[in-house]
Amino acid sequence: MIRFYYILKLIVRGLRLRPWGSLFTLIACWFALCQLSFVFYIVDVADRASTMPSTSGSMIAYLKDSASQTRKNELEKQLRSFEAVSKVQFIPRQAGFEKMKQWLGPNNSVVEGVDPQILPDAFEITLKREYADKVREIAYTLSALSGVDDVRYRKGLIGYIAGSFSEILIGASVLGGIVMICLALVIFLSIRVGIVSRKQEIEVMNMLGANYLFIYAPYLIEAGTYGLLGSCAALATTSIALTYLHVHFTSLQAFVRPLATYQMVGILTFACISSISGALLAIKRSFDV
Amino acid sequence: MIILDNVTKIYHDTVYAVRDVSLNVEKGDLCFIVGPSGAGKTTILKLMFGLERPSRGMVSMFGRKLEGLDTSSIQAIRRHTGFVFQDFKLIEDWTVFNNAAIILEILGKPAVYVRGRVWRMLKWVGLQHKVYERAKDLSGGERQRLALVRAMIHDPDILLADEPVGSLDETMARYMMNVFLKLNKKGTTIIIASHRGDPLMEYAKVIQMDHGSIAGAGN
Repeated sequence: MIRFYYILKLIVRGLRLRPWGSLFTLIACWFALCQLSFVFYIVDVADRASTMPSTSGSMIAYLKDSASQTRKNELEKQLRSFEAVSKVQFIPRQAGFEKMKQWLGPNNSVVEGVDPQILPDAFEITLKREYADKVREIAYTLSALSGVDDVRYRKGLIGYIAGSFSEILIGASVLGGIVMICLALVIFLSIRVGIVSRKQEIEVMNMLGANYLFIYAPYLIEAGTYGLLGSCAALATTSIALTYLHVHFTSLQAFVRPLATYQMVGILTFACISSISGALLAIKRSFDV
Repeated sequence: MIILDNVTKIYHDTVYAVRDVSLNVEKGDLCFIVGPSGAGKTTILKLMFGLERPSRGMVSMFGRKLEGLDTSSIQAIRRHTGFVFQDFKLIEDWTVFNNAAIILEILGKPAVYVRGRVWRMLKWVGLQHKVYERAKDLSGGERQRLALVRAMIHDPDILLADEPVGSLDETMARYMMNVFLKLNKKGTTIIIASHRGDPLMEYAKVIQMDHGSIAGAGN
């Protein structure tokens, strides 16, 4: 049975042998794990985006072809009377067509020869800022008005994020994998240096009959400690950053919330797995030492 | 307890360190392997300790052939064997206390026992005032005494000693040899490799080595 105190003594001796190396390793772990926390957070935001209200400052209400000029005038008045609406602008089909050509830019040749009459008349509606996150409900109400064919609005950043969840997940997995590999490499190098600098010690222990666990347990624990301390520091940093954003940027409050417990456990687990893997690799490479 | 059967050790395909050596050391024996430098004494001890593998022949310790054993079994045999290396093999950056205590730590002895035992042993060889000094700061004689303490501190069943008193002054050398005799009387099997004769040999089995072969043996 290896005594914990003895292992602790060996670890402390190792840290005293290369204090700066240990500190830099810890900082590298912290930095890598901050990135891992960020990756976790991005995936979480993308996951939550689909359940968040879309935000947009404007929308277009396309009118039915059958709507008479009188009805269009009434509709304009009706739209202006909405509490959420700050501005209403009628866009006749010809102007809409020109806007479309403008929007297409160099590619506008695709609409060459198209009859503008096939486009509907429309109202461009600008919402008051405080109603930006109610765009979905407002669009639903407007589309029910007589003479309105369809109401379209851009879903904004949240809509874009929600629509790109699978791409974000794949990107985050790749980035998370790279971060874990980097972390394992950092630990590998640190532990390898530790083992090489204590080559004589290991050689003598081996000659005296120490088993691999006795010889290498301090290195494994050291690596695990780097992972654990690095992830704790990274989680603290992330929490501080999120709290700061939550307090100072009220518009981001829908996005910003603390990391969930399962995410924290995930980061700790990934950190420990990476660290121990790096250490095991270093130990395996040092059997010839 | 220790059997070498027609053991040959060849280095670099051509250099015979040991050639067709057969010997049998029984439990409780005190055995001297003597001979000039290069006679193969150290190689024989290393073969017994599992630090070298024979090129030919068979080595058996505690009734187990070393050739077929995996690393963990060889390590287990080493834990029950004390070895005084010719070059001491101390951990230079460690303190005297830690160097002496290492084998007890490997064996997982309780901390209180380790402290008490190390202090007693260091006092016994006159190193009690050097407890917290690093091994690299010790003189040759002190290093040898520390190596002896480390080899004996766990009461091994077998003690292999390679020139164990070579760096000690006459008085200390005599003292340590008497310690070996006392240990042997308590039942420890002791094999000492030495290039010079010793009065203790009259109580011991003596194996004379020359050019890697046994040149003579007697009691």
